[in-house]
Amino acid sequence: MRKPGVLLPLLFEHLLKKPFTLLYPQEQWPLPRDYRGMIVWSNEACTGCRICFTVCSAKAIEMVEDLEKKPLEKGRVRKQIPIFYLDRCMRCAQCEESCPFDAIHLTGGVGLVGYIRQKMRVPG
Amino acid sequence: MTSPLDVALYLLIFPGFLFLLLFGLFCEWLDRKVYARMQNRVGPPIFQPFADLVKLLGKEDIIPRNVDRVLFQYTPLIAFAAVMTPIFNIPIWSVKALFPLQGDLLITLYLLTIPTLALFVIGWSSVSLYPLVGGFRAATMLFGFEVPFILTCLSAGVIAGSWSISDITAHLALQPVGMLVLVPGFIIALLALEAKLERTPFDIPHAETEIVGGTLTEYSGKKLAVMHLVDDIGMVVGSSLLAAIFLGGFIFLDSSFVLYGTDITPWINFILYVAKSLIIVFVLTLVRTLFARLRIDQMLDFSWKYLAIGGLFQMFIAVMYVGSSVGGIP
Amino acid sequence: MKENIVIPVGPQHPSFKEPMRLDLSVDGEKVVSADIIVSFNHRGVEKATEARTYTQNLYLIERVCGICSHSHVNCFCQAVEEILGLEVPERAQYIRTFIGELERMQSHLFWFGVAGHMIGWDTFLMYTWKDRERVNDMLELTTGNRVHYALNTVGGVRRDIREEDMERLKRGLGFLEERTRYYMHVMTEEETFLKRTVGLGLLPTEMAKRLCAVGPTIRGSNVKFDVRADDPYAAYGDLDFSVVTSDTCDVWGRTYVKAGEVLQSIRMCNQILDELPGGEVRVKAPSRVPAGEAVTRYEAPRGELIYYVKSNGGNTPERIKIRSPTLANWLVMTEMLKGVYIADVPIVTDAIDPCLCCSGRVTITDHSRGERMVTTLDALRKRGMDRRGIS
Repeated sequence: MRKPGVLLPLLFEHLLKKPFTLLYPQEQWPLPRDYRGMIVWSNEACTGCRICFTVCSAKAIEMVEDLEKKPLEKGRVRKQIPIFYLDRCMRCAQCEESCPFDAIHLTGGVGLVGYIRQKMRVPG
Repeated sequence: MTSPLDVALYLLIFPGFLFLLLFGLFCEWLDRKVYARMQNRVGPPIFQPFADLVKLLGKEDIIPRNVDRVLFQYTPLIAFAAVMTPIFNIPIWSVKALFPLQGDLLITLYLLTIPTLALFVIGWSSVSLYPLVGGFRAATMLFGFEVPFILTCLSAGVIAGSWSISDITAHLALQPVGMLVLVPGFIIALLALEAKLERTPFDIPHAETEIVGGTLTEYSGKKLAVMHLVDDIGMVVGSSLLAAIFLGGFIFLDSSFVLYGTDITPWINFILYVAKSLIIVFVLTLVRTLFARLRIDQMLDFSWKYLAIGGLFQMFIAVMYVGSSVGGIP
Repeated sequence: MKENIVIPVGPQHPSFKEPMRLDLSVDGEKVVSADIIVSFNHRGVEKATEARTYTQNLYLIERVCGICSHSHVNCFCQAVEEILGLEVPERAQYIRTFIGELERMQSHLFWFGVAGHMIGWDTFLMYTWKDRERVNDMLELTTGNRVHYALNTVGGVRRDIREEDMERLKRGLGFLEERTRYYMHVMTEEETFLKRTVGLGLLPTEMAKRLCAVGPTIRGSNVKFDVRADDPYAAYGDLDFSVVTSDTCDVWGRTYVKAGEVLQSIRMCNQILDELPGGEVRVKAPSRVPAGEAVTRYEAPRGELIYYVKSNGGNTPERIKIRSPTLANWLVMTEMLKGVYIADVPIVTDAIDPCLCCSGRVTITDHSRGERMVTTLDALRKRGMDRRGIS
């Protein structure tokens, strides 16, 4: 049956309810479990194998010379370490999945913004 | 006779320019806030329409090359003046308006048609395609809603036996039964006012998704600010007119309330006037939230099938009421 | 002969979400014929995939489209798994189907809002998008993100649905079912909505079949064409659903089909959550894919999506060709636009649910030489400029 104004009861109901809008940042929305936000890189576990550099789809990882020269097993020395560019990263977590030494973790954390692009790197 | 200082006060402060400006901005805020709340959103804060006005006044004013400069620049001012003038004929704080005239109902109806014609002229003088189509649609809509609006307003005049708004209000204040007779006309006049102000479901001339900005596409800066004010003040004056004609019985005659020797009836009447106008604005917003936009041919269809026939019916029962023993002119 | 006015609509226009251009020849208020010029945002995705490995391509293919992103990745993974001959575990198939159906619901609710906005009914937009937030919350719970889920990989899925999330998912599905039934009721009864959609954009069944329309466009013209039923992939062979069609052949019919599909999706999601098999969710896939080629089809929210993947033994694909559903529906749109009023052009254009970012792929066919080539944006630009005499 066709009639105009089908939404009328709903309009009055909404007039008396609280708005659906989330007033961010006063109210926050709980993040889901293992939300992929901030990249945390562990210096102890990394061996400089470059697998993360190979699989990164956004080319957000750059290998630079390791100034610390951390010693690895069998007498070798770590030559390169990665730096992660947070503004290029698209948080796919493929690096976390592919790293054989479990050195990269993506933890929760929103609002990763900054004014200076050179500062938005891990490690700093 | 009133002194020039009094006239200046009336024209510029109350109930003239400043009052209309503030009340118009308040009504626009109420409209947007209620619209948002009905959609379960938050809505703008109270100073938002004023902030929009100030922002528009500060923007650059661009005049395209091929337009007719005189029409393009000065039509908004004509529309602005035309929409502000009827407030002097509408009773606000007493049964009598500020400058009542015989036949001021007709003058008000004519003056309220001018903004629509101004939109057509603006669309015509800005030579590009979208304003042209918008102007044509505005003029076409005039064929639809003007007849029911005039018919219903005049049937109120028939009941009161005079073409002056102040006399209609006085008659309805003395004989409130007349308001019951005018109920169908009230509903039809509300829908026709919705079309006159170009709001959904009749906002065809400035349908954003179809013809970009509609009639006002080429406007920017001060001229756009003036046209937005024409919209807001049109809403105020239109709802004041309907409040005076159809809800005119809810008003007190002079010196009904005397407190400590001073006559406070004007204050009470003013509060009643604001309440009536805001109720009408609320109903207009409700209609705007509820419906989708109609096409121009569907709108004309609807106007002539339902609104105009309803207007004729209202005129018929008004005449019958006057001729019968119940009604009659005091 | 009278010259009709040509109104150009676009590429920048408040009515279209993405840039495309329609040249409408009008006679008064009626459209006589329409001409479409697309590909304003051609991004060269197919060429970019040739320079990346299969793992990197997963994330590039995901970003071909924002709303149907899971469909693209799913189709791609199926094609690569077919070349590899890999058997994906059943639990992974079920999870892929679940997310695919949630994405379909999210896309259709999005479309309801946009259709409401096209006819000036913003209230409907606000209400349907409020409920769409619930679908996005469910997707975020399962995959960690609202758009671009990064869930699929060659060989399975990367995440699992946990037991403690099942309760919330089921509650969300129940809420959405009630709301969709309400919208179905509103759609069938609201006078102003019916006035603006019934009888518009007529596409008779014969013409739809002849022009090879896909998706809800052709299902709204009473043709039962659905890849999920004709050629089942993933878990659709085990699920119980019906293909929704409508015999009115107009914009209202397509709206009805979309609402019906949302209800069918909810039914399928409930079945999946009840019958989710145990087991692992991925198998290891080699990074080098042997030489071969595969063609797969998938039912994206907008219609049939076809992927062709060719590999030559390395770890980057040699050629990926994407035929997205909107590309098949363009011709249909020019037919539907004949005889409508200008005021109805936005809603009729939107009835095919155009997703231009999916469809901007350019192939030049040169009839005189019988050649076909895929070109880059720079070459096209140069060609256009040469033709106009601009240097």
